[in-house]
Amino acid sequence: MAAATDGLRSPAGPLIGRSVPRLDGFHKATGRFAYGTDVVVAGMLHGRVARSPYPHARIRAIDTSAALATPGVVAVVTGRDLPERRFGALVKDETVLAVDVVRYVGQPVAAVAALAVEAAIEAAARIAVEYDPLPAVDTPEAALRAGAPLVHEAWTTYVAHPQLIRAGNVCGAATIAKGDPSRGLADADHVFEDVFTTEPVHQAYLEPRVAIAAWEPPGVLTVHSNTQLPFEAQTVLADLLGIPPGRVRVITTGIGGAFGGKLRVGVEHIAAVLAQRVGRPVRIVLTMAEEFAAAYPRHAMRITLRTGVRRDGTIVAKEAHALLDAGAFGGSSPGLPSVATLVLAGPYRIPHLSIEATSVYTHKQNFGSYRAPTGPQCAFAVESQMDMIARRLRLDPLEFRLRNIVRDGDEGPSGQVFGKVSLEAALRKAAAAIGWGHRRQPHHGKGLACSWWTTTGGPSAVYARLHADGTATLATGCAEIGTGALTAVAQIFADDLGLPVENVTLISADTLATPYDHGAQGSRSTFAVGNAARAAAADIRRQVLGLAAEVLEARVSDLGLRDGRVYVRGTPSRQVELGDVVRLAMQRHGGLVSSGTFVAPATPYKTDCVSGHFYPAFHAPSFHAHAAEVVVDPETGTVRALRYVVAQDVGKAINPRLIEGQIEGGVVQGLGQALRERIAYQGAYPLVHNFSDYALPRCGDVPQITSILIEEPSDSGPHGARGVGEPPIITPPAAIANAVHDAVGARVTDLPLSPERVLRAMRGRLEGAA
Amino acid sequence: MIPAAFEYHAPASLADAVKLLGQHGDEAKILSGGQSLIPLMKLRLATPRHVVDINGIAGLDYLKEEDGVLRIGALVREADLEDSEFIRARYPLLHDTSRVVADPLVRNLATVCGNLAHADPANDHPAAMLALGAEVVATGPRGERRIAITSFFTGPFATALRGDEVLTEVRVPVPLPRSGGAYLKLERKVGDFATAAVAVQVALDPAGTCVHAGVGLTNAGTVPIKARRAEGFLRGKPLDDATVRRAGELAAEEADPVDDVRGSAAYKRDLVRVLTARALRLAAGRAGAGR
Repeated sequence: MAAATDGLRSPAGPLIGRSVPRLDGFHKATGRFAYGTDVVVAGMLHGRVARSPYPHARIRAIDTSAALATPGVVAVVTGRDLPERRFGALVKDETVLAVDVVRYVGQPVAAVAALAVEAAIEAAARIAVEYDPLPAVDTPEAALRAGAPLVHEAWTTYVAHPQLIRAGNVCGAATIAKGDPSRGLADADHVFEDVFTTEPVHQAYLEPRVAIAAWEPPGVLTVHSNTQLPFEAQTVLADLLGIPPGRVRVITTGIGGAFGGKLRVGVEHIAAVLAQRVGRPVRIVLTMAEEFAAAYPRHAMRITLRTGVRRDGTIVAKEAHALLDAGAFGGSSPGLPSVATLVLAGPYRIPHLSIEATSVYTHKQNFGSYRAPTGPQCAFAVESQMDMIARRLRLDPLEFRLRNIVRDGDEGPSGQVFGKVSLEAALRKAAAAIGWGHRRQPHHGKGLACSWWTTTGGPSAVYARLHADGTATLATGCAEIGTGALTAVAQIFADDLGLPVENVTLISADTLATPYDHGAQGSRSTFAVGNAARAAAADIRRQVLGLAAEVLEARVSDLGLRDGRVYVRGTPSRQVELGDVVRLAMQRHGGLVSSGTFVAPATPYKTDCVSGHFYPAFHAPSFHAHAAEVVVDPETGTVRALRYVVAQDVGKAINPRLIEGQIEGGVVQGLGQALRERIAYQGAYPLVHNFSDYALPRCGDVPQITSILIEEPSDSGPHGARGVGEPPIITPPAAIANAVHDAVGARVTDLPLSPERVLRAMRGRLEGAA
Repeated sequence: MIPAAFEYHAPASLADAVKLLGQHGDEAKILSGGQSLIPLMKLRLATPRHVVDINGIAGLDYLKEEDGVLRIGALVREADLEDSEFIRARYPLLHDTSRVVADPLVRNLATVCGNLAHADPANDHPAAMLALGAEVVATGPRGERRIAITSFFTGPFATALRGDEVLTEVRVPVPLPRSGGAYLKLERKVGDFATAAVAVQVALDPAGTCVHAGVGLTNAGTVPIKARRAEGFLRGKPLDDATVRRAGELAAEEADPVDDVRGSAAYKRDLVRVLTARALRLAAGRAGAGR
């Protein structure tokens, strides 16, 4: 494979930094793009899932006779009909269908396959299940109480990652310990303790999860689904069905929004067991009601921060305790406390740290990985408290941050050493753009917040091929989840080969046809697939130039590649069409093909300061500062965001317009969590079933958003790029909470900042002052 | 999700529509704009066996002032009110209301009469019509009858319409001289059902004394509420700050909200207080501007 330092690699050409239109844009904008729900397979049946109405109950009996008698029904499957195999990313705690016990409202209990959707709906409703309801634990605090019911009584028997810390209802815990926090707190002039809570929020992808499973000769399970991680689905399906992964072909379809909600297996496994049972393809499309009841939304968290500060505004020590409501199964939850600890430390220089985050089982749906999982919750706590401390010390919040932020050469919370930290620039630019410190009207306020995030590593590989017409195919196992990352990858690849970007066709995410990829997650696609594409481009470029040197009777070092032609530098009339080179290669040895791989270099950290960690350091970290201006209605508590500014270090903006799209989208989602969105629960029963119940922001709720792109190149990204997808969602709740405080002097420490909460905080302040 | 099976009827006349209702009784639903019915059917919260589509019936889309009454036909869409300069100038309360019903796509199809007939306490027009003192026309096998809006809403999603009657018209009395109205709604997101909303209609005498007041409340109880004590308090008084504040307090006392995902009962009650006072100030200003 071509190494990352390949001498033949060309410097950034004209395509890098250009806002070329996204490759799938035209088809999406004109309604021609095929999403997952558009895919049909000849002869397919329609599946439907019967789900638990109880958060916790024993299944006494299931009577499927009425369902089976429904005209058009081909099969009904219950948990007892399947071999008892469990799946899960770090702990295998979940079965395809519930066996004996249900653990959340919405858990799949049985599934139906029928000739028509109508019959499947009818039959699923006729599955008669007798339940004995059991006491449910509805919060992590309740689940941790002595004598609380165990969500998984047999948890000790589950297969789990050896490093995973588990105990009863705890399904994952991570800590960072550095310096001497108790001493640090004792030596501080002030110690501030504050508690913050957040509620679950949903990715609200507009396309529900869909899978079509078909068994094809010679015994290959083919699954079309709108999954972000086809290779994870491949492994899980192989495991659950007891077949080799090489016999599982998962093909990612077009995806109508994902945001982390389509990482873990969602419906593929149910479609697969039904298809196995009936010997025909089976398609399952979930309803939005199912998506709100049984998906992987963002965790509710409860965060306690104790921060010790010297009189001059220097932070000396911090203790943090965070609880994540994991829901009834592990999913992403066991690994996320690690990520939480890094965000809870914040992008600040703090010599003494004691941070602990714990994922706890409850009888709710499995909360999971929504864009920058744990980021917004933790940043809300950290950055709200930064403002609270600044105000208590009568320091300007910007000034207080600038005194404490990490800078080049500083150590991160787990000992990683930073270089090229752009946080001061980000803070100053965001503050300047919002008019920080300028006089303001009554009930108007401005808020600042900053954070840091990772560019998830993991391997990527691509295949590349040049065609005789001068076009190229690039095959990647990474799915395009709507960010436009694969357009950026095509740009990077085309730039290295001197091709117009529209000459590059991306083949994406097919577990038997495209090479392995760690997947469209963690702000890594452009970064990692882009690097693999550069390696493949370097290899194929070497082949092209070698052949062209023969044709042109020139030295390789004198050749250049531009606009689909190889030319001799200094004598541009001596040139050959790329297609002619490809034809020559086809005659000689079957054509021009290459592959490229990339694995992000490990980020060094101090192993002795972390425990239970699956994500001990942030790779190619990005730094970002947000600023908001709001106006608050003093009588109703309604908050309206008027302006919003993001200053984000993107390393290198491969495609600025796509990045601005990511920033605007992330901010809108972040504003949703800040002000409106929540999956409300009554005990362990969800109260939100559709987009009428769920308060997703709409166009009229969104302010003008200004994106300021800072380009401080990373060491390892293509052309210095850093991950950009997740960060924009992290900081809005904190920026808004700080702006609300600036506007009306009321501090809300619980998300969302509903009008009711803001009003209560305002009145509490007035009563406190009276 | 997809609706349960149903029979679709598209009668060409009102008489045929009424006949179909007579034949199928409780198993039939009228389809006008379909912006409430179709979602409910898709969620299978409504499973009518017969759907009677009245969109093909000619002559139901009139919007006209006649004999001292604004007549709104069964097929007048929210967008028709929203886009009407006449409605904006003369019936600002109706204009305010139409503008905040859901979103433009919904308003292009949703009908004003359907908004009333569906009788969702979260719908916006019921409160407006209560404030305006409207009446509705029910057409059945024995012809037309008029029902005062105050006796129309009999419970959540329940009205005084009989099973074989179609709501064919809503009649709004032409405003008195020096009238003004306003509808103020607090929503979690643009186009949401109201957390709470208040409709007011006032008329002033030349000296600025309130001679007529109508106050209707949206999503402040299990049915749309007419705030009679607030209305009574306002009559005969100048709409000064103390008066509108007190009227807000009275309306809040008359509200009977419940806790739900949109807010606590206490918050909604307080919202009624604030919005009533604000709507009264706005309506009084509009009434004064028309002097």
